[in-house]
Amino acid sequence: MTTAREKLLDTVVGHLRAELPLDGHQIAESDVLADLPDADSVHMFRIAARLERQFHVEFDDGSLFAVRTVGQLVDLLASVTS
Amino acid sequence: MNGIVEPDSAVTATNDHYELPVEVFESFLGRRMKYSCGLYDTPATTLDEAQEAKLQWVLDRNLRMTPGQRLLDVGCGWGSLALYAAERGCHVVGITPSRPQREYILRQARESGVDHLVDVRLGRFTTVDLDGEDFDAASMIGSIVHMPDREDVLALTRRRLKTGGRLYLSESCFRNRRIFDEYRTSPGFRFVSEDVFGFGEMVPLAELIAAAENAGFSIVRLADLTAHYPRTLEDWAERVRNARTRIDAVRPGATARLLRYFEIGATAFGYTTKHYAFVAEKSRMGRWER
Ligand SMILES: C[S@@+](CC[C@H](N)C(=O)[O-])C[C@H]1O[C@@H](n2cnc3c(N)ncnc32)[C@H](O)[C@@H]1O
Repeated sequence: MTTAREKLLDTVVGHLRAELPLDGHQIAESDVLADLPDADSVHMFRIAARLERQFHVEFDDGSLFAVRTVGQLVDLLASVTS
Repeated sequence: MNGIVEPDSAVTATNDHYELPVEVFESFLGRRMKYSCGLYDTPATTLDEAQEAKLQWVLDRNLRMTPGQRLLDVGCGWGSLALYAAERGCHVVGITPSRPQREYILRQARESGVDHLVDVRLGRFTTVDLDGEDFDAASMIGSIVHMPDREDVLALTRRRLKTGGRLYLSESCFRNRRIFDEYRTSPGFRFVSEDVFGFGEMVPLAELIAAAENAGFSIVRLADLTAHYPRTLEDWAERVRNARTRIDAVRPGATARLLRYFEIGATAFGYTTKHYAFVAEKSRMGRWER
């Protein structure tokens, strides 16, 4: 059984894989987004935009700009989709 | 006004004016008790018609509200917009630090059978508890001038809006920074902002836009309403002159002060001041309208 949070994590990882060259790279919640291969702010905003479009939400700017890790992005998504 | 003004002392100062007995305002504001600029479509438009037109314009054309939606009216005065919106089936939460204003609105709401749609919270906006509530739209009509903490006020307003929600804000402004620097301490402006209103910090439009941008809003609409304010003030002045005895009986000398305020205001518009309205939306992309 997957929990709601695991589903959100899968979604986030799916978008990360679509945006970044992550072949073979295992993604952990503690991974720092900016340290992922090729990650830069353009990719990060594209990932945020993909999530906002998919869930019909807009993240709070302050919270979005404060996100550092994969887990924090999942938390942010959880906070607006619950 | 010089130096830094605490939001709490601003409210204490403005309450002196806004807690004058309601008879004073009833004698000149017109049927809707709207203490802000009307919309005069023709030379023959009356005060009541102008205020009715303005309320409709704000609700329909700017906020695009539909029945059942929720409106937050920050600095709601005697409820002109709150009651109008409730009459059209919207839920409204009005905010005012003035107790007589709150009581007046609740009484009117009961009389017109919309009390289940109208709620008025007493206090300074940023201290009123709105936790867990969200709104489709918000309005600040002639009220941000009384709030020295305008960036916090706009950030909080944005947080209370749903995604895609709109804020309508209208205010009198100095025409630009140079005129602001030169005239803010002139006797006429100090009379209006300090003697009449207790605290009012009129700024150039750019300051208000910057505050809205910093709060994270998209600015989606801007209108220049300057031409409509002198007529509003002239209509109020005529009514005040006709009600002179009644007003001075309530507060001796009030007639002369009101008339001086209206005259300074009417003279300044277009020369040192402007009256603008803008709509700010809580959305990344804004919304473009033909
Ligand atoms: C010029 S009146 C406009 C009233 C109303 N919007 C209208 O158009 O009729 C300004 C209003 O702002 C209110 N106000 C002043 N400071 C405030 C604050 N810090 N929080 C909320 N309302 C405030 C005043 O009490 C008053 O009701």
